[in-house]
Amino acid sequence: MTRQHIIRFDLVCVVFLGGCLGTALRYALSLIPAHGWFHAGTFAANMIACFCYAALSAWLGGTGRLAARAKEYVNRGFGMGMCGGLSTMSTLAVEEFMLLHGGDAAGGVAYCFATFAVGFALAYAGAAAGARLASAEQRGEDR
Amino acid sequence: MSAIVAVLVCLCGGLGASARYIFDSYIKAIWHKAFPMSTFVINVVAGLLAGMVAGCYARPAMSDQTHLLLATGLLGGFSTFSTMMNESVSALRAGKIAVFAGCMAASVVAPVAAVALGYLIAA
Repeated sequence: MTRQHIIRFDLVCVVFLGGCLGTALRYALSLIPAHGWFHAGTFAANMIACFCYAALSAWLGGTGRLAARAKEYVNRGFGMGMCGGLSTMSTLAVEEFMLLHGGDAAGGVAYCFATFAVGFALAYAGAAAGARLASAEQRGEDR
Repeated sequence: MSAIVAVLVCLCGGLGASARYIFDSYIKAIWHKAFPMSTFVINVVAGLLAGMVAGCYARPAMSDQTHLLLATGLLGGFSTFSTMMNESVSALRAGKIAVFAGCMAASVVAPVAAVALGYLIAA
């Protein structure tokens, strides 16, 4: 099968619901005040989303517990909708730009580096954890 | 009043996420190379629009509430950091080092450049 490119209304709705939930979490986290260059709320939202999305997609890629149809709903709802709504590139980029624009180049670079480095580590750990969980299930079912 | 605004922010986030699903489906239908172009394009577009919103808000030509709905809600829901990072890590785990490095470098530079451009246009 080629890649899915037909827009499905049921998936639009599932992504919408997940997006509302993820945005609610991010909005709540955005109330955490920034410490100098470090925007703790945006950082926390992006880090939680990185770990959860990587773990979810790795687990979905290997698990046999869900039917293909259920996998698609979980992937779109919790993955694209909730984790996508929770994480943000636009706010991160605006915060970095404002630091640079305001003359705090070192802060902007530090914030960018911290977000990408920790995000990478968490996504890597999440993907490894999700894949391990899926293969442990497979071994359990084979016995 | 603030409870209504909070609900509207969430609904705007849902709209942004749905819009990403639609854009993502169309871009993936025409782009079949290894580089995750869809997420990259979406994040650059979101950065450009977020820069314009920030520029309008700084003038100030935009209310606090409109800013919240557009920046935190719509564009925050539309753009994604987690998908970009997961696509990069997946490329690395699959041994596609060049895709990983290119995606990370592009995602560090391009969204901020797009914000700067949007800000200059609007401010």
